[in-house]
Amino acid sequence: MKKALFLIFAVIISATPLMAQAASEQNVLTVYAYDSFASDWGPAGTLIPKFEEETGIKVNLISAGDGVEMISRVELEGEDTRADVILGITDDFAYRAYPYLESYDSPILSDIPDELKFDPENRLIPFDYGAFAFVWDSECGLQAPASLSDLTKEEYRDKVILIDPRTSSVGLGLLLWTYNIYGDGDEFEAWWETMKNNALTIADGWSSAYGLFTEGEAPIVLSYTTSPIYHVMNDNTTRYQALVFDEGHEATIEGIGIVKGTEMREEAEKFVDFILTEAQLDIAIANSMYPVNATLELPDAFDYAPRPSKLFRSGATSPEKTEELQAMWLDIMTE
Amino acid sequence: MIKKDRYYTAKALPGILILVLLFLIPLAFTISYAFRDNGKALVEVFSDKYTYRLLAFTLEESVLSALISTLVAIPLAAFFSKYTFPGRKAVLTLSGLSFTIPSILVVLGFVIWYGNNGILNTLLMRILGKDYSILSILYSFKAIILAHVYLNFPIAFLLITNAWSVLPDTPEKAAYTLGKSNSETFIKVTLPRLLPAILSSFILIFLFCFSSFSIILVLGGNPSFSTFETEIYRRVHISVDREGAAALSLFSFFITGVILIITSPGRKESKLSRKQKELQKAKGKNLAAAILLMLLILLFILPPMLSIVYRAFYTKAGGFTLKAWEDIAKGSTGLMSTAMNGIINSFAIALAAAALAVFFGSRIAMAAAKNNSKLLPLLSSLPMATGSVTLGLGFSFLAVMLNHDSLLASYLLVGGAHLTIVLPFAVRTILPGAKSIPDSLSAASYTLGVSKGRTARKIEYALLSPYKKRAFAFAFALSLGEVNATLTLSDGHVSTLPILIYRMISSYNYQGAAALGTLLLCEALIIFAIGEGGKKNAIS
Amino acid sequence: MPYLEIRKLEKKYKDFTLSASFGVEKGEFLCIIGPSGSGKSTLLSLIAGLDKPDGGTIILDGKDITSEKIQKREIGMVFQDFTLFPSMNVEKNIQFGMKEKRKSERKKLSDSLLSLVDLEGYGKRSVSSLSGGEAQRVQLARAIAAEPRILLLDEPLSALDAPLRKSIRNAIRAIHDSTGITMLYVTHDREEAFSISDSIMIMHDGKTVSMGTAEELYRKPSDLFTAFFTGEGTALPAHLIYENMEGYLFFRPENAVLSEEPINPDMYPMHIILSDAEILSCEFNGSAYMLGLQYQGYPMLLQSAVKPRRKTVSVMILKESLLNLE
Repeated sequence: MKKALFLIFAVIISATPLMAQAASEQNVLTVYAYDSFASDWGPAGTLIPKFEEETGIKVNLISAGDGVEMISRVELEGEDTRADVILGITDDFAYRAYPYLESYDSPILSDIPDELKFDPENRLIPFDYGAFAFVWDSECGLQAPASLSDLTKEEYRDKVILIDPRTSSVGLGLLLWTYNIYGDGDEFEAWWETMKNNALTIADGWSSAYGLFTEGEAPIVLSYTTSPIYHVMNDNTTRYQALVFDEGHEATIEGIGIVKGTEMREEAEKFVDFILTEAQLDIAIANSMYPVNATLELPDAFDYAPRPSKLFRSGATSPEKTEELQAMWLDIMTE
Repeated sequence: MIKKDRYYTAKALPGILILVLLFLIPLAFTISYAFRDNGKALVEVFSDKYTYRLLAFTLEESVLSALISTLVAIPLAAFFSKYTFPGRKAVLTLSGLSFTIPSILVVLGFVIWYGNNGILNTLLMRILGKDYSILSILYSFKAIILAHVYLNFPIAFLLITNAWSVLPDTPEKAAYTLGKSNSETFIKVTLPRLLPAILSSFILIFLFCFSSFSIILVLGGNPSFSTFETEIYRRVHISVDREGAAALSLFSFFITGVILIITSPGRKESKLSRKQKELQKAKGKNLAAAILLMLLILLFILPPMLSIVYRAFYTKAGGFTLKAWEDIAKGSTGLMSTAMNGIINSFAIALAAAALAVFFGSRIAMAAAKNNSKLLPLLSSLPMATGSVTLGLGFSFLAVMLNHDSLLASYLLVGGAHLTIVLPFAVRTILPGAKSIPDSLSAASYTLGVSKGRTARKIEYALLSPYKKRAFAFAFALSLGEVNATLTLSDGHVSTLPILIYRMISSYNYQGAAALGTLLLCEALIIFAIGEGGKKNAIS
Repeated sequence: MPYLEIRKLEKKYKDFTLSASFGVEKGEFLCIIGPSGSGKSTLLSLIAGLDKPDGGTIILDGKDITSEKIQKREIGMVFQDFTLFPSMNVEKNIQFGMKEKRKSERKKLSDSLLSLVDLEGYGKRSVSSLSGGEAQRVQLARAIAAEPRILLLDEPLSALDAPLRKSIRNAIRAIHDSTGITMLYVTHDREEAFSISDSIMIMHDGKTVSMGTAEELYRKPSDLFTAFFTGEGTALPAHLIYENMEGYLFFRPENAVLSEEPINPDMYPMHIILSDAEILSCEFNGSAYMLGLQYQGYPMLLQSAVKPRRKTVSVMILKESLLNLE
């Protein structure tokens, strides 16, 4: 009896949050987004209600894990997918999403710089972008490196936190970055060979890498050019700075697209336009990315997120080449 | 005595059904990918040298971790199962806490405490007056083992202590009277009787470490330290190669499956004896030893956890701040509501999952014990043999298959997935208890004309209660720290504390994450305390 | 027709087969004895329903219960091991199988059962605090509380020490006499069986060998196994004495007389005389001397009121006390 009561209690407790939240409704625009967008501290918390209020369109935001899981899901669901819009596919995986998307020549496209438009058919429209960069602790007493090659210097031994390209898109970003700088020659191999010593560790993901960095385990970490913004806005410090190298940076561009065969094309278009205009700043700040819309005035904090003059698009490297580079990397690093 | 008892099998059926629905079907779906294109991916995996390199390292690190964890646990368990002393229960309870922490916080806690710039090193530097890191623990193979032992030795400690406490010590006394030394008695008399518990915890830890990967990568600091799980993760999340991932999952599942089958507890556990072993009160030298041991255990398990609590209130520079807590309260949906929601969700899901796991788990364990079945415990152990990435992939197939659009379904699915994940622990923890119930006890009840149902309720399950408690604590802790299944199956609509922690971190707020981690630990602690403080078990 | 009838009951194991046929009258106290491994406990398990037979029938009160569920058989059992339920106190254990539903009646009943087994005031005790003898008495009370039609007792006293065994077995007999419950009592202790039972059944190698009252089995055993199992004695090959006789001649030690002088057989036509028996051992057992002898290479056991002085003696046995057994 006690057990039964306990079980009932447990079920009631579990059901409480259900009652607190409204049941889902018919005729809503279903948007697949990666988890950090849908997060409570993410932009969705304020943006979605705003969009719903302005347009009267209800949005059902579904967090489908990370960007890759989102693609997986759309692939698996195929025509049965509930999604009308998918948000957050990066340019390097765009090719996998194209078969499920339809073109949309948004009027806002003219406000987006051409070098960011990676899909000529506008199935995926960029809404924000970021550049991978090394962030460093300016109070560490070391010289700031000015290029990837500088990082291989002896003085940075055990001072750099890298990220594994097998388990993280940021790590993969660096791999492609070094490829774009050094190409198919021996330099590529030599760089990574030296970094085996200079890397304190090669973390599984950005989260742990950056955590190690803020705990002071090493003064240099692979991250984004925009990372200092958080420290300026929240810790009121300019101690952590993004290093901009003249040779160029690997960029990642996130796109939004309308799912093929949607019955809510009109609403979907409104949502895309909303993301490309009003939502730009909120998303940029929350994601620590740059907005694509060139007409926008950026807040002061972005002064600490220097935009590199030269960008390599991750999507420009073919998936086969990426796969090959990963295998090479593993060979170099585990020898 | 009574073979093939259908009554107990029938009782276990709902639990088995849940396993089949939420685990076997998604798994079968995942694995079916391995056979596409005439099993091309499978052939590649089997013929790739890299697969065997991964296998070698995965086995090395998991066997070593499990071995050290159990070796550390045995002497501690020996003491804790012989003596009673103030603080004994508290230490046993606290040692289960590390289960609740999601791996990112374990890493963080480790770095804050053991890091080159961590608290331990800072303290040592101050004491020794040096200006460089004294201890270089992290970013090496030994760091991997340290973290694995940290996370898993409580399993061995708790399970072995549990088993040893109810083991009558008459055979040992007999051996002493025959002039056998302590060590010879331990090796020849005690160890064989403890073996099922030792083996069971060894396998649990082995499986955990087999599928570990983020801790291995960050703390190992070298890509040669890669497990199957790393490569499966890469194929799922980086190269979107479902066939390859499935093939590799199948390979790794095959290895763990074989190991599970070989080691599945077939032998009869020692039956409950009439007189329970009385724990002796530790006095004098023993009390001193007890205090020393407790201190050692606490010194090992607490600092990384307390480091997280510390970080929730203090910045890296050492300044006290409540900013993290303010950040938590600033959830965009309103004051505290997000964090509150997370706390309630985590609590409710863990409570329901743990209660149901104990409910179904004890029925499965009883059915297995009554029918002397090897298959049943094996079946319910399978989710454990499946790495979290594979499990996550399976769940995402499940999510796609169901393609539901309701919050209720999200909650039910998440709860079900948690149940599937924690059920193996419940079954493993309860099974020795079920096996120790003497047949004659149930037979006595039957001859009194008492039905099987009433016998099960009033006598058999009543005897399981200490095991069920332990299982509940394990299951609760495990569910509390779960991330992957929750994310995959809830469409992001169900935010638990660990998910909030990851989200906090993805917006750079490590301190906020530490604050949420503190809440998570508190939640687990409260439940543990309630569990331990509850009514004393009937056999006392 | 007997109250409980076992007809060709069979249970096969790898190297052991049990087969039994016998009947028990209502109110009877039947002891089943036999060496360990003779199938006594298996037989009880089959009767209680804890085990399924491979053949044969069990009839209770005229009804075939062979495939009846344990719970429906109304056959109580007292086990050799400790089977009190640790999750309940003494009183709750006793009340567990009661058919009576009213709480006050249950309490009254368990109290009276406790006094029946001489454990007044033990109701609230935890079962792990009981001594071995107390635990067995609670088991007995618990079994009786369920109002069984037959009570099976499986070596209930084997784990207890001798004085305790004696007092509890007397209590069991007293309970039998006051309640009139039919009891089947398994033991390997002959003395226990003799003192407690109305009748005795002897089992050997899975078979029921013989059945009768204690005196019948002692005085007129039907076979050598029964003869030796029910008491001491000597079995000599029959051809030693009667040229054409087969089998063995058996006699109890008290039926033989020892003579230190040579005996003229013609003087004792009612006896057979065995001359030149050699005394090997001599033990005083309190009332007489038990002598171990050897006659033509065969051991003999006989009782003598006086201690013999010679090594070589003659033995005379009353012919009618000699049993020709197989």
